[in-house]
Amino acid sequence: MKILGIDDNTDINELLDTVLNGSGHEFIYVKNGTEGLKFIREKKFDIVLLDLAMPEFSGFDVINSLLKEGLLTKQKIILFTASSVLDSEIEELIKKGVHSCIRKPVDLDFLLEKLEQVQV
Amino acid sequence: MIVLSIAMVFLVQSLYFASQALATSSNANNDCPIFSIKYGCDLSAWSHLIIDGLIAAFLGVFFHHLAHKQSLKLKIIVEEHDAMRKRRKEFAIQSLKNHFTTLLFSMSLVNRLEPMYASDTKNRDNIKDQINRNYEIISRVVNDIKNVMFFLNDVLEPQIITDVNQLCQTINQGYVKDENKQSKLTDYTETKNKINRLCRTFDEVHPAIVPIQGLFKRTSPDSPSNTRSLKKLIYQEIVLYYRHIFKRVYSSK
Repeated sequence: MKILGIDDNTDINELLDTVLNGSGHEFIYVKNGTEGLKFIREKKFDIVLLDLAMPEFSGFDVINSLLKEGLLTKQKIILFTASSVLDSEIEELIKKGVHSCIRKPVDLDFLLEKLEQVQV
Repeated sequence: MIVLSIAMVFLVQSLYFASQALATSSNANNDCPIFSIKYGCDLSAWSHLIIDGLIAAFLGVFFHHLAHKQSLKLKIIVEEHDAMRKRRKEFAIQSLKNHFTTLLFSMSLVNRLEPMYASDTKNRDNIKDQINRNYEIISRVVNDIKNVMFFLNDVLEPQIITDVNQLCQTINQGYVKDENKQSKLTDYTETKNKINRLCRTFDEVHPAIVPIQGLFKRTSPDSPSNTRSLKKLIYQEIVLYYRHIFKRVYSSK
């Protein structure tokens, strides 16, 4: 499975890199929304793990840009966020084309299970 | 405001000279008590009364306006401070949740690697390096959590601070160094449950308070956009205030 991680937290990125690449997936990560958007435009990913709260170009900006370009529904975008997002906000994003949301903190096993479910 | 002040000075000056002219042109005598209005009497007392009344009214309006302006500024500062506090609170919770995620990931990885270290004799050194790297991450993240608690403790509930400190203590106690100086994480499940409980408390005590889009906005009251909006708001309020006064005057007429 080809997974793109867009998160400004380096530790999380590196740990996911170890775990996901170690378990047979192809995981690439970027640290900001601008780079993430570039990767999404250029390459095809099975799943995009997107953090919402990032400085300068946030996850919301990424979603809005993808929505404008008509690329949002072509990706399985999973929000992976520590922000106190309201359920209504998430529902709104899901209506727009976001696949689902995983709230941090989360157990590694749970995350892997969720990714497998999404892939199926 | 400057135009109003200049107009007031001209008015006072002209009234003053008028009263002087009245005083010099009249002949004060016993038939002319101080506030009498008769031909040939000194009317300067009346003009003084009018001038003083006008000055008092002007000063009253002026000070009222100053107080109003000041209270507006204070209101904006208080609102700004409140918004900043909310953003700091949201940032603190977000940082803690991110750190907890890193902790859970690292601890989970250590738990996976430890049995491998025991069974896999070929890659022992490599696995040991990975385990130690994760212990370093755990140690650093615990320090980062303590820093968050130190710098943002004014926006967090005391109960949360206590719980997080207890969690840090539990994790620190989890490091058991045996005779081979091998670190061991004692109870992952206990830590995981504590973190989950803590996050439930976060959501109860601090529900979603700041839209995420606004989290990284500049909040300095000195920023040009804030100064502009402050000035605009004050002018709007002044215009509304004077409109209100004029309406009152016209309606009373």
